[in-house]
Amino acid sequence: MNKSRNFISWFVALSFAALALFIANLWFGSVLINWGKIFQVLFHPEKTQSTAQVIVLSYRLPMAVTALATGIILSLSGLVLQTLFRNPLAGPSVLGISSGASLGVALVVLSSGLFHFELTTFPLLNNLTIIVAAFAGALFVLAIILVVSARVGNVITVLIIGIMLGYAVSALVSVLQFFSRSAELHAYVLWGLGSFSKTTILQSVMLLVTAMAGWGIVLFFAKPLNALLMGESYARSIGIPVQSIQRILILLTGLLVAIGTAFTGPIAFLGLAVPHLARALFKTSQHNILIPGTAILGANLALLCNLIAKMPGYDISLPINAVTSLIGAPVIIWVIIKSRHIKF
Amino acid sequence: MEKTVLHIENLTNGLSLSRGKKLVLQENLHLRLQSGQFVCLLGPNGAGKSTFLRILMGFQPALAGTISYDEQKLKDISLKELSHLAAVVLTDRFSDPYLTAMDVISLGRYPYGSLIAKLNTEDTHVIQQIVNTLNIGDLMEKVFRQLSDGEKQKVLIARALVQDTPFIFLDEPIAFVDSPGRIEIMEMLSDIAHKHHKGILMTTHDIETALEYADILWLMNRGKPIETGIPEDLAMQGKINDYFDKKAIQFDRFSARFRLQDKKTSATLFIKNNSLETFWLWKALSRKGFKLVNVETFPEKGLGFYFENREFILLHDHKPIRRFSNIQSVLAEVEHYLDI
Repeated sequence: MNKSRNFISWFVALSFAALALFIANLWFGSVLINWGKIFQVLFHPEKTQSTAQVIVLSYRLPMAVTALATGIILSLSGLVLQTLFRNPLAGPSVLGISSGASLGVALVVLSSGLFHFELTTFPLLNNLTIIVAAFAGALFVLAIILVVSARVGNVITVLIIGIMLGYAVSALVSVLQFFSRSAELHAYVLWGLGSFSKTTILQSVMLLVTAMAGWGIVLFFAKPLNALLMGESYARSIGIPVQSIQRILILLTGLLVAIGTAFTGPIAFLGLAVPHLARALFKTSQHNILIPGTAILGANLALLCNLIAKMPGYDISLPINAVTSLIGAPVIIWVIIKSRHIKF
Repeated sequence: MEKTVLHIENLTNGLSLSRGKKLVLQENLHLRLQSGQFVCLLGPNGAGKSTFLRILMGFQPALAGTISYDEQKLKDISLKELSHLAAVVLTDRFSDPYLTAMDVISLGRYPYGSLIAKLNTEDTHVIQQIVNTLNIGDLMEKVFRQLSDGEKQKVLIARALVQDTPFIFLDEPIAFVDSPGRIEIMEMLSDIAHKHHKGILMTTHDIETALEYADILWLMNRGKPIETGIPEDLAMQGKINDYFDKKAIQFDRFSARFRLQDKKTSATLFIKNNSLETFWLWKALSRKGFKLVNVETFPEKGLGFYFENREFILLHDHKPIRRFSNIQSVLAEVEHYLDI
């Protein structure tokens, strides 16, 4: 099997690339910290008491871990949803889950102005409140999707309802925006731009554990996912309980996206673009290869986007969504033109 | 080898529509299919062939009646067990850009594998054997959607075969395939049924091909019971016309082909149809709408053709009046002689 040996060497290479990008994420930033210091901070933290420690441990490290984890979570969700809905343009946003997270955050942030309590006065509470609000909003939409999918049974109907829910929720958010003050509006817009830097080290590690667990669980679905490439009827005919598999996978990806979005805000294009990159790179549609392949590519791309967003050497940084979109959109266009396979 | 039998008893074929409405296509169907038989389910579009197959596969419930594989009722059979009893070739299209023929065929081994999507040595062995039997080794690494329609069907048939089930159901496997491809696929299916001892049921609306290859025909049309029998009996008894009730088009029992009725000429020609050449002449003249009669000796009166010394010879009242070197020239000039 030439293909699988080829894949293993790619996977190893990409793992090293991810490691290199991870280290680069610790190294580069608006301040350059030299190698020795980073090493010291990471492995002998008791010896150092400096700004370097603060920068690396409470800022760059959680950010890099979050980028890594989010890259894995979103790309894998995108892959699963594209196969599940048999639609190359499906991604984490199609189920309306990120819109749900936005609604949760909008309700908390924007209504704080209406009810005259100042979130901004409690920064730590603020962070946690927003995570909880985003998660609750995402779960709310996910619950609706699950109820609907149990009733209608047709996965394309679920897809359309998810997209429509997203629109409805966005409409609600825009009403809230309309009635809110500019300070809250600014805070909300900032959240909407997405960021890997809103997590503590503990939160980022939790996110990484979630990502790894999600990866492990999705791997067990490689076989039914492969079968679904031939459509629901063929999958059924080889003994796969299609409807329950669909529901489990919607729940699983929904939870993953909800958790990811809660910590980072909506991140555009990663989930949509990475599975296409993985297919183009590994030249296969078999999920036993695509699942690890997509995860490792997603990790690489998220770390790379984060590195670019940090604008090493400059005092400013770009919103991560701008970078993922600027990289993701051309990737999609390139994939479409190169293989001309987005067909309906 | 032990026989496995699919029993269909008292079945109502049809669909449940919304608000409790039902579309009943056929009622009280009693049929049986056993391993080693190649059955073609024939019927016009909309007769309910695909619905019937979907019911047999358990994709949708029958409106009434029971289906059982040997002694076991379909509704008591789990999805997993069913995947060891029947494999399918469907009309569903899939166009994943990287899915290879090998990937498609491997899916047939899924009912045998563990949780992990990897083939074991037995799977590889079974696949290799089937691939060799069907002679499709050169297609394996190709992307499925880039194959021709005929090649796609072969790969799908291979997929159904590696599933190693006593029954295979195929929905319109020859619908988009060119004639040589049709012959190849029909030969393949009939071979599989007889040599590998499988019960094969395929739907088609191509009567001429079905007549030639099927062991048994099931004729289906809306609101009629299914008529079963061997192709020759059904054709001879004129049953086929009853199931394709289009007034203008009739099944010609003599040529085993469909043709338009009421062509303009109705002149009778006698042909001594005893060679390949006269066979094709017959086809050409009947296409032009002549009434043809096959004779050993020509009657006293009338026009007739026979073939001798590489020439078609036209007889008028026993006298040769014209020689033709090919069929085109016969067709061009035969009308002039009708008024004699």
